[in-house]
Amino acid sequence: MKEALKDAADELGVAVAGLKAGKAFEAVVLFRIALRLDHLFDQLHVLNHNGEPTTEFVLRGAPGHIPTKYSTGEEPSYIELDNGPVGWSVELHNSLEFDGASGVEHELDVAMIWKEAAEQVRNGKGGTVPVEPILGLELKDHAAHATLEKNLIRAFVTCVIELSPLRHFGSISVGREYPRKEVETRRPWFPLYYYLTPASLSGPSRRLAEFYGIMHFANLAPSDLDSVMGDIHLKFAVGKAIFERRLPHHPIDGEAGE
Amino acid sequence: MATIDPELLEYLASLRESPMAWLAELAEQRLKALDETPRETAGQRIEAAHIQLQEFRRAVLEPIKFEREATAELIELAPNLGLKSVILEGATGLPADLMSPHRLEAIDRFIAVIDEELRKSERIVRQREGEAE
Repeated sequence: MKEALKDAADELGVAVAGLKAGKAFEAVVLFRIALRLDHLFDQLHVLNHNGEPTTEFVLRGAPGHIPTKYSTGEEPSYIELDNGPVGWSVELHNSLEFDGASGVEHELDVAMIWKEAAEQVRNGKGGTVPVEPILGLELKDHAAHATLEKNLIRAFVTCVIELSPLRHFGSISVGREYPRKEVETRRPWFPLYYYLTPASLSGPSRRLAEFYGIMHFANLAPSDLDSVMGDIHLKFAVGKAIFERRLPHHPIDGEAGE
Repeated sequence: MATIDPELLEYLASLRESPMAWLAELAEQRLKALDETPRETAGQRIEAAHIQLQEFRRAVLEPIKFEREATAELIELAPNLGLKSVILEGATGLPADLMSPHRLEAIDRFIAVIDEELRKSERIVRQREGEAE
Protein backbone atom coordinates (compact mmCIF):
# COMPACT_ATOMS: atom_id res chain seq x y z
CA MET A 1 0.00 0.00 0.00
CA LYS A 2 1.28 3.48 -0.91
CA GLU A 3 0.09 5.34 2.17
CA ALA A 4 1.22 8.82 1.10
CA LEU A 5 -0.65 8.45 -2.21
CA LYS A 6 -3.73 7.09 -0.46
CA ASP A 7 -3.75 10.06 1.96
CA ALA A 8 -3.31 12.62 -0.85
CA ALA A 9 -6.05 10.92 -2.90
CA ASP A 10 -8.39 10.91 0.13
CA GLU A 11 -7.83 14.64 0.56
CA LEU A 12 -8.31 15.28 -3.14
CA GLY A 13 -11.60 13.38 -3.16
CA VAL A 14 -12.95 15.55 -0.35
CA ALA A 15 -11.45 18.94 -1.21
CA VAL A 16 -11.98 18.90 -4.96
CA ALA A 17 -15.70 18.36 -5.41
CA GLY A 18 -16.91 17.71 -8.94
CA LEU A 19 -13.47 16.72 -10.23
CA LYS A 20 -14.54 13.57 -12.05
CA ALA A 21 -17.51 15.30 -13.65
CA GLY A 22 -15.38 18.27 -14.75
CA LYS A 23 -17.61 20.82 -13.05
CA ALA A 24 -14.98 23.58 -12.86
CA PHE A 25 -14.49 23.34 -16.63
CA GLU A 26 -18.26 23.42 -17.13
CA ALA A 27 -18.43 26.65 -15.12
CA VAL A 28 -15.53 28.15 -17.08
CA VAL A 29 -17.23 27.47 -20.42
CA LEU A 30 -20.58 28.78 -19.17
CA PHE A 31 -19.06 32.01 -17.85
CA ARG A 32 -16.85 32.58 -20.87
CA ILE A 33 -19.82 32.31 -23.24
CA ALA A 34 -21.76 34.81 -21.14
CA LEU A 35 -18.89 37.28 -21.09
CA ARG A 36 -18.17 36.85 -24.79
CA LEU A 37 -21.79 37.38 -25.91
CA ASP A 38 -22.58 40.07 -23.34
CA HIS A 39 -22.07 42.96 -25.79
CA LEU A 40 -24.79 41.59 -28.09
CA PHE A 41 -27.37 42.18 -25.38
CA ASP A 42 -28.51 45.18 -23.34
CA GLN A 43 -28.07 43.54 -19.95
CA LEU A 44 -26.45 40.54 -18.30
CA HIS A 45 -27.81 39.26 -14.98
CA VAL A 46 -26.56 36.43 -12.81
CA LEU A 47 -29.69 35.14 -11.09
CA ASN A 48 -30.66 32.56 -8.51
CA HIS A 49 -33.59 30.23 -9.19
CA ASN A 50 -36.04 32.83 -7.85
CA GLY A 51 -34.90 35.25 -10.52
CA GLU A 52 -33.06 37.47 -8.03
CA PRO A 53 -29.50 38.79 -8.58
CA THR A 54 -26.86 36.78 -6.76
CA THR A 55 -23.12 36.86 -6.14
CA GLU A 56 -23.13 33.17 -5.23
CA PHE A 57 -23.61 31.00 -8.30
CA VAL A 58 -25.04 27.55 -7.58
CA LEU A 59 -23.77 25.25 -10.32
CA ARG A 60 -25.97 22.25 -11.15
CA GLY A 61 -24.12 19.24 -9.74
CA ALA A 62 -25.75 16.62 -11.95
CA PRO A 63 -28.13 16.58 -14.94
CA GLY A 64 -31.30 18.30 -13.80
CA HIS A 65 -34.40 20.32 -14.48
CA ILE A 66 -35.34 23.99 -14.21
CA PRO A 67 -36.61 24.29 -10.64
CA THR A 68 -39.84 26.05 -9.84
CA LYS A 69 -39.17 29.58 -8.65
CA TYR A 70 -41.17 28.79 -5.51
CA SER A 71 -38.64 26.21 -4.33
CA THR A 72 -37.05 27.05 -0.98
CA GLY A 73 -34.10 24.64 -1.24
CA GLU A 74 -30.66 25.09 -2.76
CA GLU A 75 -31.34 25.29 -6.49
CA PRO A 76 -29.15 26.06 -9.50
CA SER A 77 -28.48 29.60 -10.67
CA TYR A 78 -28.38 30.80 -14.27
CA ILE A 79 -27.27 33.75 -16.39
CA GLU A 80 -29.77 35.91 -18.23
CA LEU A 81 -28.87 37.91 -21.33
CA ASP A 82 -31.64 40.39 -21.93
CA ASN A 83 -32.58 42.67 -24.82
CA GLY A 84 -35.85 43.89 -23.40
CA PRO A 85 -39.41 43.09 -24.44
CA VAL A 86 -38.92 43.39 -28.22
CA GLY A 87 -35.51 41.77 -28.54
CA TRP A 88 -33.85 38.54 -27.64
CA SER A 89 -33.88 37.37 -24.07
CA VAL A 90 -32.05 34.16 -23.36
CA GLU A 91 -30.65 32.18 -20.45
CA LEU A 92 -27.47 30.18 -19.99
CA HIS A 93 -27.56 27.03 -17.85
CA ASN A 94 -25.32 24.08 -17.08
CA SER A 95 -26.27 20.38 -17.02
CA LEU A 96 -29.83 21.10 -18.07
CA GLU A 97 -32.16 18.38 -19.33
CA PHE A 98 -34.38 18.71 -22.40
CA ASP A 99 -37.28 16.68 -23.76
CA GLY A 100 -36.16 14.60 -26.72
CA ALA A 101 -38.43 13.84 -29.67
CA SER A 102 -38.87 10.29 -28.34
CA GLY A 103 -39.89 11.56 -24.91
CA VAL A 104 -36.52 10.59 -23.44
CA GLU A 105 -34.67 13.33 -21.55
CA HIS A 106 -31.25 14.51 -22.73
CA GLU A 107 -28.71 16.67 -20.93
CA LEU A 108 -26.53 19.40 -22.38
CA ASP A 109 -23.47 20.37 -20.33
CA VAL A 110 -23.93 24.02 -21.26
CA ALA A 111 -27.03 25.36 -22.99
CA MET A 112 -28.61 28.62 -24.06
CA ILE A 113 -32.40 28.63 -24.08
CA TRP A 114 -35.16 31.16 -24.67
CA LYS A 115 -36.04 33.05 -21.51
CA GLU A 116 -39.74 32.79 -22.35
CA ALA A 117 -39.59 28.99 -22.47
CA ALA A 118 -37.61 28.83 -19.23
CA GLU A 119 -40.03 31.19 -17.48
CA GLN A 120 -43.00 29.02 -18.38
CA VAL A 121 -41.34 26.05 -16.71
CA ARG A 122 -40.08 28.12 -13.77
CA ASN A 123 -43.45 29.73 -13.08
CA GLY A 124 -45.05 26.30 -12.96
CA LYS A 125 -43.87 23.18 -11.21
CA GLY A 126 -40.42 23.19 -12.83
CA GLY A 127 -39.18 20.48 -15.18
CA THR A 128 -37.27 19.72 -18.34
CA VAL A 129 -36.99 22.21 -21.17
CA PRO A 130 -39.75 21.41 -23.66
CA VAL A 131 -38.13 23.16 -26.66
CA GLU A 132 -34.78 22.80 -28.41
CA PRO A 133 -31.87 24.96 -27.26
CA ILE A 134 -30.36 27.91 -29.11
CA LEU A 135 -26.88 26.74 -28.25
CA GLY A 136 -25.80 23.38 -26.84
CA LEU A 137 -22.38 22.18 -25.77
CA GLU A 138 -21.07 18.78 -24.77
CA LEU A 139 -17.86 18.78 -22.73
CA LYS A 140 -15.77 15.63 -22.42
CA ASP A 141 -12.98 16.46 -20.09
CA HIS A 142 -11.37 13.67 -18.15
CA ALA A 143 -9.79 11.48 -20.79
CA ALA A 144 -7.08 13.98 -21.64
CA HIS A 145 -4.61 13.03 -24.34
CA ALA A 146 -6.39 9.81 -25.14
CA THR A 147 -8.41 9.52 -28.33
CA LEU A 148 -12.09 9.56 -27.52
CA GLU A 149 -14.11 6.50 -28.37
CA LYS A 150 -16.42 6.96 -31.34
CA ASN A 151 -19.33 5.89 -29.13
CA LEU A 152 -19.06 9.13 -27.16
CA ILE A 153 -19.62 11.37 -30.17
CA ARG A 154 -22.21 8.90 -31.47
CA ALA A 155 -24.14 9.42 -28.24
CA PHE A 156 -24.05 13.19 -28.69
CA VAL A 157 -25.25 12.87 -32.30
CA THR A 158 -28.26 10.96 -30.98
CA CYS A 159 -28.87 13.72 -28.46
CA VAL A 160 -28.71 16.40 -31.20
CA ILE A 161 -31.12 14.47 -33.44
CA GLU A 162 -33.47 13.97 -30.51
CA LEU A 163 -33.47 17.64 -29.56
CA SER A 164 -33.55 19.07 -33.09
CA PRO A 165 -35.03 16.41 -35.41
CA LEU A 166 -35.98 18.81 -38.21
CA ARG A 167 -32.50 20.30 -38.41
CA HIS A 168 -31.09 17.39 -40.36
CA PHE A 169 -33.24 17.33 -43.46
CA GLY A 170 -31.81 19.10 -46.51
CA SER A 171 -34.80 18.32 -48.73
CA ILE A 172 -38.05 16.40 -48.69
CA SER A 173 -40.10 14.69 -51.40
CA VAL A 174 -43.58 16.19 -51.79
CA GLY A 175 -46.66 14.92 -53.65
CA ARG A 176 -48.67 11.71 -54.07
CA GLU A 177 -47.59 10.95 -57.62
CA TYR A 178 -44.21 9.77 -58.84
CA PRO A 179 -41.82 11.27 -59.44
CA ARG A 180 -42.38 13.27 -56.31
CA LYS A 181 -41.17 16.80 -56.24
CA GLU A 182 -37.95 17.35 -54.36
CA VAL A 183 -38.23 20.49 -52.24
CA GLU A 184 -35.29 22.10 -50.47
CA THR A 185 -36.04 22.74 -46.82
CA ARG A 186 -34.88 25.89 -45.12
CA ARG A 187 -32.22 24.78 -42.72
CA PRO A 188 -32.44 26.81 -39.55
CA TRP A 189 -29.37 28.70 -38.41
CA PHE A 190 -30.03 27.70 -34.81
CA PRO A 191 -29.48 25.67 -32.74
CA LEU A 192 -25.69 25.62 -32.74
CA TYR A 193 -24.13 22.48 -31.26
CA TYR A 194 -20.54 22.13 -30.05
CA TYR A 195 -18.39 19.24 -28.85
CA LEU A 196 -15.37 20.24 -26.75
CA THR A 197 -12.69 17.92 -25.41
CA PRO A 198 -9.07 17.99 -24.27
CA ALA A 199 -8.70 14.57 -25.90
CA SER A 200 -8.12 13.83 -29.57
CA LEU A 201 -10.93 12.98 -31.97
CA SER A 202 -10.43 10.24 -34.54
CA GLY A 203 -11.22 10.80 -38.23
CA PRO A 204 -14.51 8.86 -38.08
CA SER A 205 -15.60 10.81 -34.97
CA ARG A 206 -14.89 14.11 -36.70
CA ARG A 207 -16.75 13.03 -39.85
CA LEU A 208 -19.73 11.94 -37.80
CA ALA A 209 -19.87 15.25 -35.98
CA GLU A 210 -19.45 17.31 -39.14
CA PHE A 211 -22.13 15.41 -41.04
CA TYR A 212 -24.63 16.35 -38.36
CA GLY A 213 -23.46 19.95 -38.16
CA ILE A 214 -21.73 19.65 -34.79
CA MET A 215 -18.75 21.95 -34.39
CA HIS A 216 -15.91 20.11 -32.67
CA PHE A 217 -12.81 21.33 -30.86
CA ALA A 218 -10.29 18.76 -29.62
CA ASN A 219 -7.07 18.97 -27.58
CA LEU A 220 -8.46 21.89 -25.59
CA ALA A 221 -7.11 23.37 -22.36
CA PRO A 222 -9.30 25.37 -19.94
CA SER A 223 -7.15 28.47 -20.46
CA ASP A 224 -7.19 28.07 -24.22
CA LEU A 225 -10.83 28.51 -25.20
CA ASP A 226 -10.34 31.58 -27.41
CA SER A 227 -10.84 29.70 -30.67
CA VAL A 228 -14.07 28.15 -29.38
CA MET A 229 -15.40 31.44 -28.05
CA GLY A 230 -14.49 33.16 -31.32
CA ASP A 231 -16.46 30.57 -33.30
CA ILE A 232 -19.46 30.73 -30.98
CA HIS A 233 -19.42 34.52 -31.05
CA LEU A 234 -19.23 34.73 -34.84
CA LYS A 235 -21.95 32.16 -35.55
CA PHE A 236 -24.21 33.41 -32.79
CA ALA A 237 -23.87 37.08 -33.79
CA VAL A 238 -24.59 36.33 -37.47
CA GLY A 239 -27.54 34.10 -36.61
CA LYS A 240 -28.98 36.63 -34.20
CA ALA A 241 -28.67 39.41 -36.77
CA ILE A 242 -30.40 37.31 -39.46
CA PHE A 243 -33.12 36.31 -37.04
CA GLU A 244 -33.76 39.85 -35.79
CA ARG A 245 -33.78 41.21 -39.36
CA ARG A 246 -36.81 39.00 -39.99
CA LEU A 247 -38.78 40.45 -37.11
CA PRO A 248 -41.45 42.90 -38.36
CA HIS A 249 -40.68 45.47 -35.69
CA HIS A 250 -36.98 45.59 -36.50
CA PRO A 251 -35.91 49.25 -36.84
CA ILE A 252 -34.08 48.63 -40.13
CA ASP A 253 -37.27 47.22 -41.68
CA GLY A 254 -39.17 50.18 -40.35
CA GLU A 255 -36.80 52.68 -41.97
CA ALA A 256 -36.79 50.79 -45.27
CA GLY A 257 -40.55 50.86 -45.42
CA GLU A 258 -40.89 54.60 -44.88
CA MET B 1 -1.13 -6.03 -23.44
CA ALA B 2 1.53 -5.23 -20.86
CA THR B 3 1.90 -7.13 -17.59
CA ILE B 4 1.68 -4.52 -14.86
CA ASP B 5 4.73 -4.24 -12.60
CA PRO B 6 4.07 -5.09 -8.90
CA GLU B 7 5.14 -1.57 -7.93
CA LEU B 8 2.36 -0.14 -10.12
CA LEU B 9 -0.14 -2.65 -8.79
CA GLU B 10 0.41 -1.11 -5.35
CA TYR B 11 -0.39 2.35 -6.70
CA LEU B 12 -3.55 1.11 -8.33
CA ALA B 13 -4.64 -0.65 -5.13
CA SER B 14 -4.03 2.51 -3.07
CA LEU B 15 -6.07 4.66 -5.44
CA ARG B 16 -8.87 2.11 -5.51
CA GLU B 17 -9.26 2.46 -1.75
CA SER B 18 -9.70 6.23 -2.05
CA PRO B 19 -12.48 8.41 -3.51
CA MET B 20 -10.27 8.62 -6.61
CA ALA B 21 -10.86 4.98 -7.61
CA TRP B 22 -11.87 6.16 -11.08
CA LEU B 23 -8.30 7.37 -11.58
CA ALA B 24 -7.09 3.81 -10.92
CA GLU B 25 -9.40 2.52 -13.66
CA LEU B 26 -8.15 5.16 -16.07
CA ALA B 27 -4.50 4.39 -15.26
CA GLU B 28 -4.97 0.63 -15.44
CA GLN B 29 -6.47 0.92 -18.92
CA ARG B 30 -3.54 3.02 -20.06
CA LEU B 31 -0.98 0.62 -18.52
CA LYS B 32 -2.59 -2.43 -20.08
CA ALA B 33 -2.62 -0.69 -23.46
CA LEU B 34 1.19 -0.46 -23.42
CA ASP B 35 3.12 -2.99 -25.50
CA GLU B 36 4.65 -5.90 -23.63
CA THR B 37 8.43 -5.46 -23.69
CA PRO B 38 11.11 -8.13 -23.09
CA ARG B 39 11.92 -8.62 -19.40
CA GLU B 40 14.65 -11.20 -19.51
CA THR B 41 17.41 -9.07 -18.02
CA ALA B 42 17.40 -6.74 -15.02
CA GLY B 43 18.00 -3.79 -17.36
CA GLN B 44 14.94 -4.69 -19.42
CA ARG B 45 12.80 -5.04 -16.31
CA ILE B 46 14.00 -1.67 -14.98
CA GLU B 47 13.23 -0.07 -18.36
CA ALA B 48 9.76 -1.71 -18.52
CA ALA B 49 8.94 -0.49 -15.00
CA HIS B 50 10.21 3.00 -15.88
CA ILE B 51 7.92 3.17 -18.93
CA GLN B 52 4.97 2.04 -16.83
CA LEU B 53 5.71 4.53 -14.04
CA GLN B 54 5.82 7.36 -16.56
CA GLU B 55 2.59 6.22 -18.20
CA PHE B 56 0.93 6.00 -14.78
CA ARG B 57 2.10 9.55 -14.03
CA ARG B 58 0.63 10.86 -17.29
CA ALA B 59 -2.65 8.97 -16.90
CA VAL B 60 -3.21 10.17 -13.34
CA LEU B 61 -1.92 13.71 -13.58
CA GLU B 62 -3.45 14.79 -16.91
CA PRO B 63 -7.00 15.05 -15.53
CA ILE B 64 -5.70 16.51 -12.25
CA LYS B 65 -3.67 19.20 -14.01
CA PHE B 66 -6.64 19.90 -16.27
CA GLU B 67 -8.77 20.46 -13.15
CA ARG B 68 -6.13 22.73 -11.69
CA GLU B 69 -6.11 24.84 -14.83
CA ALA B 70 -9.92 24.97 -14.90
CA THR B 71 -10.07 26.00 -11.23
CA ALA B 72 -7.44 28.72 -11.71
CA GLU B 73 -9.31 29.98 -14.79
CA LEU B 74 -12.60 29.99 -12.88
CA ILE B 75 -11.12 32.01 -10.01
CA GLU B 76 -10.01 34.62 -12.55
CA LEU B 77 -13.26 34.67 -14.56
CA ALA B 78 -16.01 34.65 -11.94
CA PRO B 79 -15.37 38.15 -10.51
CA ASN B 80 -16.00 39.56 -14.01
CA LEU B 81 -19.59 38.42 -13.53
CA GLY B 82 -19.75 39.92 -10.04
CA LEU B 83 -19.48 36.48 -8.43
CA LYS B 84 -17.84 35.81 -5.09
CA SER B 85 -18.36 32.05 -5.07
CA VAL B 86 -19.43 29.17 -7.31
CA ILE B 87 -21.12 26.53 -5.17
CA LEU B 88 -21.46 23.01 -6.51
CA GLU B 89 -25.04 21.89 -5.90
CA GLY B 90 -25.21 18.75 -3.77
CA ALA B 91 -21.46 18.62 -3.11
CA THR B 92 -20.68 16.28 -0.23
CA GLY B 93 -17.05 17.35 0.09
CA LEU B 94 -15.71 20.53 1.65
CA PRO B 95 -15.38 23.15 0.39
CA ALA B 96 -18.32 23.18 -2.02
CA ASP B 97 -17.03 26.46 -3.46
CA LEU B 98 -15.24 25.72 -6.72
CA MET B 99 -13.28 28.96 -6.27
CA SER B 100 -11.82 27.91 -2.91
CA PRO B 101 -8.01 28.07 -2.77
CA HIS B 102 -8.14 24.77 -0.83
CA ARG B 103 -8.91 23.04 -4.13
CA LEU B 104 -5.68 24.26 -5.66
CA GLU B 105 -3.74 23.37 -2.49
CA ALA B 106 -5.12 19.80 -2.46
CA ILE B 107 -4.35 19.39 -6.15
CA ASP B 108 -0.80 20.70 -5.70
CA ARG B 109 -0.21 18.36 -2.77
CA PHE B 110 -1.46 15.39 -4.81
CA ILE B 111 0.85 16.26 -7.71
CA ALA B 112 3.81 16.63 -5.37
CA VAL B 113 3.07 13.28 -3.69
CA ILE B 114 2.81 11.49 -7.04
CA ASP B 115 6.15 12.90 -8.18
CA GLU B 116 7.85 12.01 -4.90
CA GLU B 117 6.39 8.49 -4.78
CA LEU B 118 7.35 7.76 -8.36
CA ARG B 119 10.93 8.83 -7.68
CA LYS B 120 10.96 6.40 -4.77
CA SER B 121 9.54 3.67 -6.96
CA GLU B 122 12.28 4.11 -9.53
CA ARG B 123 14.79 3.49 -6.71
CA ILE B 124 12.80 0.53 -5.36
CA VAL B 125 12.72 -1.10 -8.79
CA ARG B 126 16.47 -0.63 -9.23
CA GLN B 127 17.16 -2.12 -5.79
CA ARG B 128 14.80 -5.01 -6.46
CA GLU B 129 16.42 -5.84 -9.78
CA GLY B 130 19.92 -5.30 -8.40
CA GLU B 131 19.16 -7.75 -5.63
CA ALA B 132 17.65 -10.23 -8.07
CA GLU B 133 20.73 -10.28 -10.34
